[in-house]
Amino acid sequence: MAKIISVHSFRGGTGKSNVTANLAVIIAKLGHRVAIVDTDIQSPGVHVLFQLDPKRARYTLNDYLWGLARIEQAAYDVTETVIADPDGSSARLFVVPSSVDSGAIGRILNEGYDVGLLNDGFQELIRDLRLDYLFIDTHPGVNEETLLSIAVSDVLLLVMRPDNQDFQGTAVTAELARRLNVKEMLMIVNKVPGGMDRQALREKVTQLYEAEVAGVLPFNEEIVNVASSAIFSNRYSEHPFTRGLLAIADRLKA
Amino acid sequence: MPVRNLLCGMPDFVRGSIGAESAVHRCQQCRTLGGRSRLVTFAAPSDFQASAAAPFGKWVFPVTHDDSRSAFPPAISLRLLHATQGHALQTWYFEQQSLVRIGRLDSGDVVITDPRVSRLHAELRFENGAWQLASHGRHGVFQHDKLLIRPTTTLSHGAVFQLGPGGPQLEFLEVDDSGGLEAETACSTIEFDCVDLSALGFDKREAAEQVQQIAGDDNFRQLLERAASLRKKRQPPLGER
Repeated sequence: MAKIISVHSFRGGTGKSNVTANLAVIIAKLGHRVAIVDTDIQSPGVHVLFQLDPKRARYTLNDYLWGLARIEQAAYDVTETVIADPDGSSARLFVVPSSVDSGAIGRILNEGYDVGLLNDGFQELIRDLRLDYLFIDTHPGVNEETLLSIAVSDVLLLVMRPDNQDFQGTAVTAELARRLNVKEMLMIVNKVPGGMDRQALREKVTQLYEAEVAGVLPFNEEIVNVASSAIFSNRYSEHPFTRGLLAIADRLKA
Repeated sequence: MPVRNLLCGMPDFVRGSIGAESAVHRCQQCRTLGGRSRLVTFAAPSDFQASAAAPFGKWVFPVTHDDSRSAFPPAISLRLLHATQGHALQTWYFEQQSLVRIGRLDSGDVVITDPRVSRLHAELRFENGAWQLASHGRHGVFQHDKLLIRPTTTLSHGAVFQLGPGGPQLEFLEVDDSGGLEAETACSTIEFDCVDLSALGFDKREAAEQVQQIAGDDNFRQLLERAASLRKKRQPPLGER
C-alpha cells in the first residue's frame, strides 16, 4: 500500500521542505515511485530544490484545486534532475508545485480550498502515478487544512528546531495529531548547533513528547549554502546530515 | 571477533546490520585505519560472508585504498589547547593514517567549530618520512604569531600551530604506536560552550490549555468526523490492483 507521509512543523524555518525533498530523493533512489505535493500554498518552496520554475509550469496545485486541471497535469517528473542514471531503475520522483504567483496565493488565502478535493487528488496521484510514497509538505502552524492532511496520512513527521518556542508549539501540534488518531508520529530535530549533545537531545525529546525520534540532524553552513538550490544529500553523501536522513528513510520504509 | 578480508572501498555493510561488536576498522592491505567517523560495527567472519552479498552499496566506505603506501606513518595525536591555560580541551589520535584533515567540516578528521576556522583549514600529510602541515584556510595558519607562508611546514614533536589569527591552537605530538592511547574528548567546540540542554523544554500546563482551546469545541469534533470520512477514501493496497 502506498504510504502517505505528512511533513509538518509548528513554525516556519525548521527546514521542513529541505528535509521533505531530501527524504523523497533518498527513497526514490532506492527504486521507489515517489511524489511530493507542496500544500504549503501560502509560502511554497519545495519546487526550488528541484530547479522547477512554477512560473513556467503550465499547471500547479492551485489549478487543480480550482478545477482547471487534473492533478497529474500538475505533477512534474523530476527524476532526471535529481537521480543520476535512473535508466533501468524503477525510481521515479514527481513534484506537484504550488503557484508562486501572488494573485494565485491571494486567491487561496481569500477563498480557502476544498480539503476533500485535495484528498481526492492525493488518491488520484497514488493510483495514476502508481506511487509507493506520497510526501505532503504542509503549511506550518495549526490550521484546518493541515490538520486534515495530517489525519489522512500514514505517518506524520514533525520537524522542530532545538529552541523553546519550537518545543512549546510542537507539544501542542503533537497532542492534536494524537487526537486526530494519526497512525504514526515521528519527531525530527533539525538544525542542531555544534556543541549540543545530539544523543542527549534525542533522549530528551523522546521523553518530553513520549514519541519516537527518527532523527537529530546537525546545523551547518554547507546545508545553508546548498539547500536553497539543490538536493544536499546528493552532493554530500557522507555528511552527518545525510546519514541522519538515510536513517529516517530506513525507518519510513519499515 | 576477528574480521578478515576487510578492504578500503568496500561497502560499509556492517553498519546497522549486525551490531554485535564495536571496533575500529582497518584495511587488511594498506592498513589504513578508519577515523573517528569511520567506526564500524564488526560481525563474525561468517556473518561477513553472508552480508557481503547484501545490497548495502549506499554505505560506501570513505577511506581510499592506497596500494603505493608501504611505510606506515607513525601514530600522532593532536591536542586542542585551552586559549589561556594551555591544557588540552580535546585530543585526537591517528594511527597509521597518512592524511589528517582539519577544519569545520563534519567530514574532516579533526572538526573544530569556530568561526575563524575554515571548512578545510589545514591538512597534515605524512610525506618523505615526515609530517607536513599545509594551510588551506582563508585566515591562514600561524606558528609563534607568524603566518606560515610556505606551501608546507614540517612539524616536529610538540609543535603548536594556530588556525587563523587568535584562533584555536593545536599541539602536534608523535606518540608511541604501541601505546594504544585512548582519544579523550571534552567538548567538540571551544568557541561555543557545550549547550546546556536542561533549559530546553515546554510548559506542559500551557500546552494542555492550548490543546483544549483548539480541540475542545464543536469545530474540532466536526474536523474529526471529516478526517474519518476522508480516510475511507484511501486507495486499496498496491497488491490488490
